[in-house]
Order: sequence, then C-alpha cells, then structure tokens
Amino acid sequence: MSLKNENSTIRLLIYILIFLILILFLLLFFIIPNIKDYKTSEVKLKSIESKIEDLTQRQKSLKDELKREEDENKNVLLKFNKNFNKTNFITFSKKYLNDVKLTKTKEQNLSNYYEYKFSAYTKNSSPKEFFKFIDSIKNYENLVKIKFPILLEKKGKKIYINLILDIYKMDKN
Amino acid sequence: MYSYKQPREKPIFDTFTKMWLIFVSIALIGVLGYGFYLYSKSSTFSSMVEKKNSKVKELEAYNSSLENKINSIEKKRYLYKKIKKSNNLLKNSMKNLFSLVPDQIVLSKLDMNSDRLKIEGFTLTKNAYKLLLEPPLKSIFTQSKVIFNFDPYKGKYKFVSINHYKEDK
Repeated sequence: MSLKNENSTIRLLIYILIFLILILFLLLFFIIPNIKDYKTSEVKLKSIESKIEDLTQRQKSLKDELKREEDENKNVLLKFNKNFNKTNFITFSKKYLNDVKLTKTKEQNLSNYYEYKFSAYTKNSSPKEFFKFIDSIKNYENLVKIKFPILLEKKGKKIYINLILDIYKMDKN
Repeated sequence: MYSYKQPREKPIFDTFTKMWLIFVSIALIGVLGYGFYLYSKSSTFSSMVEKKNSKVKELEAYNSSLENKINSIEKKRYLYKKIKKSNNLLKNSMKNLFSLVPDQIVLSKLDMNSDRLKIEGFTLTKNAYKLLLEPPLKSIFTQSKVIFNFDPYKGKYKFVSINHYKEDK
C-alpha cells in the first residue's frame, strides 16, 4: 500500500515537473517574445499616433499662418501674380512723363525679373513730376525697381531721363 | 483455457493521467491562445504603424509645402520692402542733390551711378561753385574733381564735376 502511494507521489511530481517544463518552455520561446513584440509595436503605434497628432496640429497652425500672411500681404502678392504689360506701364508713365520709351535689354531666363531701359522727358523744366513718378511706382501693378545708372539731361525746356528698370516676373508657383 | 472472471478493460491512461492530460491541455490551449492573441495584436499594430507611417509622410510633405508657401510670401514681402526702400532712397538722394544746388548754378546734366556722380552745368563764377556746391559734394564723396571751361557765348563757366564714393576698407 505504501509502495503504491509512493509511486503515485513520484508520478504526481513527474507530471508537475513535465507541466512546469512545458509551461516554462512556452513562456520562454513563445509568450515572452510575443509580449516583447506586442509592447514594441504598441509603443511604436502610440509614438506614431502622437506624431500624427503633432503634425496635424502643426498643419492647422501653418494653415492659419498662411492665411494670415496671404491676407496681410494681399497687395504685395498681387504684384507677383500679374504678367508685365509694356503698354500698360507706358500708359502709367505718361501720367507723369512724356515720350516714354521702354526697351528690354536682354532676355533673362535665370533671374526673376526683366531688365528694361527706360527713357522719357519731363513735361516741364522741373524734375518734380519725375519724383512723383518714382513715388507712384510702388502702387503700380507689378514690382518695379529703379536702378543706376541714372541720367538726367536738360534738353531745351525739358529734362531727358534715362535709367534702368528691373520689372519682376510673374510667379510661376 | 477458460477464466471465470470477465476481462477488465485496462485503459492506456488511468483516471489521474487523463485528468492531468486534460488539465495540461487546457493550460496549454490557454497559454497558446494568449500567445496567438498577442501575436495577432502585434501584427495588427505593425500593419497600423505602416499605414500611419504613410500618413505621416503625407502630412510631412503637405506641411513642408505649406512652409514653402509661407517662406515664399515672406521673401516676396521682404523683396517688396527692399525695392520700395531702394526706390525711395534713390528719389531722396536725387532730391537732396537738387536742394544742394544754389541759384547761381544751373545744372545741365546729371549722371548718377552707385559710386559715382558726374554733374555738368553752368556757373557765373568759379567761386560760386567752389564755395556753394563743392563743400557739400566733398562731404558726401571721398573724391571730387572739377574742370571749368569759359563759354564766351553764355558768359558763364561750364563745369564738369566728377565725384567718387569709395568705402573705407
């Protein structure tokens, strides 16, 4: 009887041991690696979700900033969105000056402006109208820069003006 | 041979082993099930990460295009202000130059460059030029030279003044 009990105890111990070995084996080679993978992918997912959140917030603030910039610089942007029209510029210049001539110096593909040679006569012997012309150029539909060399020469009762103008091209974007 | 005893079925596994096997199977199924659940979860997470990565790229590209647009506007505004200032400066320097010319002197030609100014005109006397126009020109330019020629028809001196501006190195 005692021998049978002893056998049962040993068998029980062996079964427990086999069970523990099986469980340990599964834990070591199946469960723990899977838990690690799960944790890693969960962390990755959370970090990418927070990144998306940040980027969405950034997008919102950028959109607001862009809108604000567009509204604040509406007039400036309009100057870059219009093709230069030579006839319009001559008509505009004739409000202040006479015999206006505008000649493109050379085709510049690389720079963002065209260079023009500008010549005209004042309407009288005073350069006042010429100064008014320079003042009003900032309100012209295109962006125009007056450049050196500038020549002012008295011819009869008028002043002959010769200078260089940089007229900025339309933005292609 | 004949036995009076009925043959007793002897199972391969006794009740204890069967119970143990059932218990072990349940435990194994539980552990394996949990393992597969974790595996499927992490696979789902990985595929979600891939999808979200492409969304991140899209957002980054869009944000970068927005940043470029803002930069472009800022550049345009800066250029506009710079040109406006340059045109204004040019006009003011010409106005100032005209204001320097006294009544005794009449200008006939002005040739302006970024670092050079050539003035041609008429003066009644050399002194009028030397006392009234030369000092302000000399205070603006680093070099100032003048040549006089008497014009007998007009009874005035025609002068050519060449002025240079050189920045100190």
